[in-house]
Amino acid sequence: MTLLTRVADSLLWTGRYLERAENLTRALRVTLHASHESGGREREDLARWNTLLEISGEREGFLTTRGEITGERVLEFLTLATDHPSSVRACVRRARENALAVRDRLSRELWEELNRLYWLLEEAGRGRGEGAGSLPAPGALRECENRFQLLQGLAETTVLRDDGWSFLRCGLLLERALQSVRVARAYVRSEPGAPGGSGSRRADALHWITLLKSCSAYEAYRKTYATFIRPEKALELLVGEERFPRSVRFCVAGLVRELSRIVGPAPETSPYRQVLRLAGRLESHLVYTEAAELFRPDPAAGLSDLAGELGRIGGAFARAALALPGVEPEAVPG
Amino acid sequence: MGSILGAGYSPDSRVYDEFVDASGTPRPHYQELYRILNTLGSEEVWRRQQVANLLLRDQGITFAVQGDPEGLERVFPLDLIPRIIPYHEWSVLEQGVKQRVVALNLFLQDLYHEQRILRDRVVPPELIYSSPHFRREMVGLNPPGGVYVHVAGIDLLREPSGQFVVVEDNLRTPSGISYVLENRAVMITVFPELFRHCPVRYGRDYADRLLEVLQHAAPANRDEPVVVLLTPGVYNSAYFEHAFLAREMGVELVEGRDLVVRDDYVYMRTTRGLKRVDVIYRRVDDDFLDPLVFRGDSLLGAAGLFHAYLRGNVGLANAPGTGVADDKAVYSYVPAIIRYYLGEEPVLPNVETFVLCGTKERAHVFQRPEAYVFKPTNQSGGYGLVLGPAASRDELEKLREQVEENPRGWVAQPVVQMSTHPTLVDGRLVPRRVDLRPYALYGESVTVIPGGLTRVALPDGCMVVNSSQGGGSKDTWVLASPRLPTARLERVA
Repeated sequence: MTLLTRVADSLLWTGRYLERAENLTRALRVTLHASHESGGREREDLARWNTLLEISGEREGFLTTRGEITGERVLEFLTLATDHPSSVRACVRRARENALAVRDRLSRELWEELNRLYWLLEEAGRGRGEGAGSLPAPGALRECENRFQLLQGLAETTVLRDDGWSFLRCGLLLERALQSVRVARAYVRSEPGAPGGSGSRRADALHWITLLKSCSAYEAYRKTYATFIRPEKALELLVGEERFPRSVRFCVAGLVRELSRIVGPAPETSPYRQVLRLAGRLESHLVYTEAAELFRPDPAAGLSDLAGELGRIGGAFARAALALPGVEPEAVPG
Repeated sequence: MGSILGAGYSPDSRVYDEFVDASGTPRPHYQELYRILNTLGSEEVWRRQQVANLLLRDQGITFAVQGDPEGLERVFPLDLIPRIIPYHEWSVLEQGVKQRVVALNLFLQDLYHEQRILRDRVVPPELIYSSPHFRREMVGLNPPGGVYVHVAGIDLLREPSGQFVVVEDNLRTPSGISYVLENRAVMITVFPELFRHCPVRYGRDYADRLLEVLQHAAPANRDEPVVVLLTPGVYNSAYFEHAFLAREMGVELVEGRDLVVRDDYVYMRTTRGLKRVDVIYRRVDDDFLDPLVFRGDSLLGAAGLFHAYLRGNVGLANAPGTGVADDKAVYSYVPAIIRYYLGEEPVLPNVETFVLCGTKERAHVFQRPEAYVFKPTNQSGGYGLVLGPAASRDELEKLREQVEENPRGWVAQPVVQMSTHPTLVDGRLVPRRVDLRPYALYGESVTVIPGGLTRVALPDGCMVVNSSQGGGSKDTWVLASPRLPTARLERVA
């Protein structure tokens, strides 16, 4: 069945924004929980809020518009704010905008559920008075996370498995991999011993547990490695474990599968062959590189490289949507 | 008067009421409906109206009002009481609409070729050349089958005498058919009793017929023509209809940026590469179709599209340049046009129209402007319309200035006291003004869709029915046989 490249692009971004919003919601919930669990020590908490801002990529924007970093302000900033694109509410808005343009490609159940989530967040945002710094109700983050998971389930079980589905899935997987990398890197940068970290040895274990929980990886870690949490093993799980659904390797393998379907039997004519090449290369890299090698020269640098590769894949998708046969998409520097 | 209409149902006696006659008795073709409504009772009917409203909202049967800052989408209200047209009346309407569409098509063909009608001075040439929609680029072009107007919507009103008159032709991108189809679906869901005793011909086939007409417009030698629907996008007021029709026909809904023209062939950009397009059902105005030929700043069309059309490599429906024939000043010549090409008398009369570029006409009309409706010659959707009887002195003064400034841009028509129909407002049935827009499709020949869109002006005393001005709609029934005026009501299409 025909699929316009514009529609494919919208499906990709619907997936990406939904995944982004879900990850952020989980990271927020887990971080808040960790803060309560450890008794709310100011220095530790500050490190936590910084980590959240780092994950969202909006630390600069926050400092400019909100000033001092407090838990309340960060929470409002990352859930209901609309003056920047990386809050949960802003992501859902964009997801819905994209989905609106391709409504026919989604199942009715998925669309209606997305619409309901949109209105939930809009009403929460308006009712609370934007920027007033008021918090969402305690169970709200959990509720929100559940809604996202409902959407994932609906996508999985009600959308016809055609090319449109492949693009939606690519969006989900690409963003999922990227989020795992970003979360891991933020935690690596803010680890207790590091500058900007809380400086507390006691906080070590909790720090890495929080990382794992932010990626729904805590139980998976326990099952895979048993005993206590070691940072290098946590990173291995999140990046290279082939059985863990949120690992970069797992997601990229899924991307390769979907892209193979998209490119179809005549790859030379597909606008997406370049994307498949990049994804395939990254998959090989993750499969055949030893864990220690992946994090050379240091974990933060290794993770940044991965983020870069994933970013290149995203860029290749965008260029494919604009490319014309006979005109090679321009190479993107770096 | 029975319970459903209430003692308070009192239509204006100077006006034709569709449902009841002058003595207040339901007309023969409404009696069965009347019986059923009475059985249900007004509370139940009102409750069902609420259900219907929710259905419409949930399904998103909406339209967008231009320039409305509040919201993107508004539900186009459906009033549950259907409008019924008896068999013999419909036959006349069908004949009249067909005649009009055939004549207007011949007119367009002539205007863009020998222009015999201008040379014979039946229509003033200056009127044609001063019409912004006369497209010189179309001169000499031969569209497939000689068809310019593939889809037409003819607006009719019923006068107090009971006679239907044509108020307006819509030959460019007429909309509303999606509401006709969705209204029927909602009616069947909410009011099954009305459909129980009749052999309903499940008539979703408008989409099939439209697709056939569109395929007919394809270049020769294309076995399975690829048809697309070109939309300006999600912010267009009729977007719902574009998406609806594309889905019903099973054709791709495209925007200008999805199309690319190479070597005078049109393609759409798909994930498997470029795919050739044979026919474009374009719901984009002429002006925006091709930045190389028309407006250079348009992002809604595709560069090179018109040349592909000129070369005969792609079909366009409707053809560019049809707007010259639905220009309201040209409208006043349609009876003459019918006589000229068909040698027949018009089956459906025009409304008397004063083309205001004549000084005599202007003087005459402005002696009593409160008795006329003033219409810009080239707008649609009821925009810019000035209703004389409802306008203030200031508004009429301002109007006069506008007309003096651009006389070619205005026509005036005496206000037609259009018919009323019982309509549900706050749980009661009250008379509200209605019009009728039948749709015609021109493939190998002209077919008129039975019924069409009945629009109703919802505010009390209002005579403007357009959706953008707060109107709603009703399901429209056409009786299938003259011998079954009451017991069996058959919906056609």
